[in-house]
Amino acid sequence: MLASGCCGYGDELARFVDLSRLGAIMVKGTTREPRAGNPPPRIAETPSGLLNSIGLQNPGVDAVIRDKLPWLAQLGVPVIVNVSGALVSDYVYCAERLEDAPTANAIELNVSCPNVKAGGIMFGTDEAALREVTAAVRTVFDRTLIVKLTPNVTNIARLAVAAQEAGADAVSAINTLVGMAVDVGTRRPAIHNTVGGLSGPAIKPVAVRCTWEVARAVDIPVIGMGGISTAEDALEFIIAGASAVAVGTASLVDPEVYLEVVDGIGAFCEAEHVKLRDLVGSLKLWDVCG
Amino acid sequence: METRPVEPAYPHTTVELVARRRDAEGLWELILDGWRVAEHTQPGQFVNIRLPRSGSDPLLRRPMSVAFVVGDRFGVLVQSVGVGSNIITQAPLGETFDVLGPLGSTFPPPVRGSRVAFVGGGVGVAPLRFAFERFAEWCGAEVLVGARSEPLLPFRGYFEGTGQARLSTDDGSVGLKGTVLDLLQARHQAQPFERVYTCGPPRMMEGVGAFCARQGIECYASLEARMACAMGQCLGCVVPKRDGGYVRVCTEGPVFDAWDIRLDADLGWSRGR
Repeated sequence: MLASGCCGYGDELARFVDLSRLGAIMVKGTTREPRAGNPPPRIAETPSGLLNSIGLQNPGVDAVIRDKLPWLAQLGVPVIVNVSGALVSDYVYCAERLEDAPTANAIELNVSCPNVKAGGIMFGTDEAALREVTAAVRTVFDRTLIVKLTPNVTNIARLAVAAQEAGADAVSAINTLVGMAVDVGTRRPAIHNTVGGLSGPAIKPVAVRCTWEVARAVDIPVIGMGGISTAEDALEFIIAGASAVAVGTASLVDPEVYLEVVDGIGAFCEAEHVKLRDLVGSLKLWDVCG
Repeated sequence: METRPVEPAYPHTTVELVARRRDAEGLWELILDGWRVAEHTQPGQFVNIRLPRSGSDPLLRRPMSVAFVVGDRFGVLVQSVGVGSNIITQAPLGETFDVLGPLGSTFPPPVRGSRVAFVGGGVGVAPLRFAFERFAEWCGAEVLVGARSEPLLPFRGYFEGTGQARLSTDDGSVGLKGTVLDLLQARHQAQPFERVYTCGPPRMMEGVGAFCARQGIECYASLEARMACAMGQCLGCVVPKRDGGYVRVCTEGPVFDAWDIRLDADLGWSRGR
């Protein structure tokens, strides 16, 4: 899959890479109303990482359904619409609209965006709030419902369990880590929003750990993501318990990277004489005798 | 002539570093061999260069305006400001770079016979040189280039060779003592311009844009921004529009009608990577 925020709505990326071999495309965070996003600078490069604070710039769910989903429909790839909001009613509005748009195969609830003032990450760090928003969307959306978890919590497994109990069909692990960089020349934060979401290879070990903790705690599938840029990276997540994986930041650098990941996973399975589904969660812990 | 397979302008290719020349203080001219880029790039467009053998740090590509095209080769002007640009300027001859491009919008060609100024500062002269090369023969072109001091003047040899360039330096070491905006005002007073193409430091372009707006001169500005993908995906490189909202420098830009953009916006430039 391509992770939300790194592939827009697919249409413009199709100029750079054949998207038809994707397992799914997770399109840009979409909200009830159009959002202009945050003032620049919105990004800063950090060691093996990217700090961003885009601020959910998007044309609003109605425009996405009208202008973006028809193109995505002809791609022949499952479409997962990432949905964000400030209030439970915002999420429910988007879910109701998407329920009537069959091209949207699934919703990924973005309860973990660090870059908007209200909502977003608040829902992802509080168990009660996460249950409320997940359950509310569940009642109006019948197709696949994914909850995207934030790593910015003490115990991510508890949040994953809350999402499962409230009706989620799957969870994504993880969204960005809250980070900050300072421009020592100006003594200002490197990005306008002061803090932003850190992504890229720098966060991969955190993401693998979160995937492992979540996969042990829930019965629903886990979509692993966070710093994947090679097949070996993806295999780490799969062995740790992810049933599927998504590439995000790496595809901003190389739009064709997902093809290498897909082919590399296939080559690994062939070389190791193992089926991919048997690799999922096949982690061999050091302290288990056996 | 060698025939080539008919291929779409697929903007992802490999180019080879074939020449390097120190152009001015902190500025390097690199010549890259890559016919796809050379053939398809229009003035104002850029390429996004992946850093060779750097693994994941630095992570991102580096966007560079195409400064000229000669046959199958094209030139870029690189300012050594940090880790990434140093990797590019110090790469050995024969090094290959994975590039995305040509990317972005183009300078619209001038009206035939109109009087046009190409107003640049520092590394910003790169896209102006390419525009001048393509447009100069069918308009009354003047190149106005400014720098803080003589050793910093970019593409000086080339521009002086055109016989259509005028220089300014803040310290008066060569050309007009003052800014390139002072030069533009003086030249416009002498004989009015109908259109200005500009690229340079933000404060320079803000001044040029404001002057053109006051004088009713059409002005097209090529902007620089921190970019992650340069493919329109991440929305990281936006600049504010005059009428509200943001546009992507990589996709709607880098060339904009200066009137449409808030050139006074603080994009937070301090030091590069």
